[in-house]
Amino acid sequence: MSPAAAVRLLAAVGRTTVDVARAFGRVVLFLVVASVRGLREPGGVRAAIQQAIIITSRCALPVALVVGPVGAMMALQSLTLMRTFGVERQLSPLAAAVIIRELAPGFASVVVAMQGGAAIAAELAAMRLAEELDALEVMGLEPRGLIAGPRILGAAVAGPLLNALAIVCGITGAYLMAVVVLGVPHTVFVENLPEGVSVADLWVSQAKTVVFGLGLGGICASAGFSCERSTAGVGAAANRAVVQSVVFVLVSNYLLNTLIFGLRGGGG
Amino acid sequence: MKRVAALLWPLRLAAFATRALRAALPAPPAKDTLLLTVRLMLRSLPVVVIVTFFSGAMLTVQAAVSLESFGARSVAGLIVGFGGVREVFPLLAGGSLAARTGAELASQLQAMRVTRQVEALEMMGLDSVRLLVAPRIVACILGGPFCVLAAMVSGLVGAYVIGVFQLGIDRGAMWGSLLQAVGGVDVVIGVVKGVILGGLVGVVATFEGFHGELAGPQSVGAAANRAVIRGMVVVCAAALGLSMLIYGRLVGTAI
Repeated sequence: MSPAAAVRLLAAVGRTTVDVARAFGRVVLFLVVASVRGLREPGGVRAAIQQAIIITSRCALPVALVVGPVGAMMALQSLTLMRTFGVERQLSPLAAAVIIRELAPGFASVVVAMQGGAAIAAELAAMRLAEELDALEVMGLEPRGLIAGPRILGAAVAGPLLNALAIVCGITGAYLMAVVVLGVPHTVFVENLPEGVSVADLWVSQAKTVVFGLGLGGICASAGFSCERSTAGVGAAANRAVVQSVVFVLVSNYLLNTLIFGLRGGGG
Repeated sequence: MKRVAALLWPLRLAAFATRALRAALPAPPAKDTLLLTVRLMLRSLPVVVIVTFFSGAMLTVQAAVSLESFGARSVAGLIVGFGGVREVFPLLAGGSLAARTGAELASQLQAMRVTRQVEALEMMGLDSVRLLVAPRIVACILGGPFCVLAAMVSGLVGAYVIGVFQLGIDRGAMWGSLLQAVGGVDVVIGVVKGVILGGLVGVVATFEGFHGELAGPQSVGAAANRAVIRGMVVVCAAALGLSMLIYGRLVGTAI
């Protein structure tokens, strides 16, 4: 590679990094401003609770339909592995641990991004297109606090609620697969269930979904706010919001795990 | 009434897909299909790769922590390789495909409907389902396997990189345990899963793009939203069904 080409490559990498960092910073700024102002608005808490109820009710069925089968698949595959070693009684502690620690918060948040987040982005983009947000600004009101804030906070509240539902559905799915389909004895499954998890795991799991909810709420709301003003722009904003928030959930899940368990995964 | 509609939805999907593919069979719009497949790969593969890389990494950290108490963290790779290649990575590939390309296809088609471009085609005597829907479904069927295979590779690489450089597991041991429970048959199953999951994402996305009430720009967003979430639910259900079909009989006899 010639020196000039190397410099060009370096410049391109640097530019991309700066762009990504700038976009990230914009979202964080938007998130903080919108949620703080949203809470300060008169009736802000009430609006946030309303949004939380809307998001939770919209996402409850999809969460159940996604996490239930995932739990069942988990049970099927772990049992494949475990029966060869004859450690069937370890199934339910493992299933409970994996579902509570990873699958429920991860998949519930992905579903919230796909259902609730996309709806937020599409709704706000349509408002931008219809110049409703501009109208608010003209009247001297703050659309970020008034419109985006409650939705972001709502997503953060809906996260743990849906996570609880996801845990129940995931374990039910695992139970149905293990006990009803594959014939693990009921008592073996139920009695060993609490062994795998502690109360701390539950709290960590819930805390994760609050972070995911806040982040994806911020991403989706700012995608809607910065939508291009055309009919196709609304779809593009919803699409961008979903993809970015799904990536955000999985990347930050990894980072949070590393943060919680230490860089070396607890000793070693 | 709404419940009945929900029950009929799979049937309507199937009818829609059959109609599209039958309309396109005599004279397939080959060039469009090819271009759409290339576009799908360019748009979806990066998302698939990032998502599965980090989920492989995340699973490895989690597995190493769980196995720490048995002093068996080097086995972490076995569990991630086994569960990841069989279930998690294909599922996430389907989800990413729904999120990126599914939403895109649905919002494209819905935007064409909102701006009356579909009617314009029909006015000119052209079959919009043959021209617009069929190539998109076929592109998803063609692109799906690539997404699933890329997901498997990227997930394993993610697990390897984190296992070796972050958790400090020996290189050879990590790679060996990752691949211990993975065989050539898993690649074949991955391709089959890719075709089926990709096709389902395509059918759901085009169906949602072609239906729904036309109420201006917000219906474009709504169509994208429906395509993503329904695509994800269908992918999960199909992945469970496929796993039961393929692995259900093998419980206890694997490896």
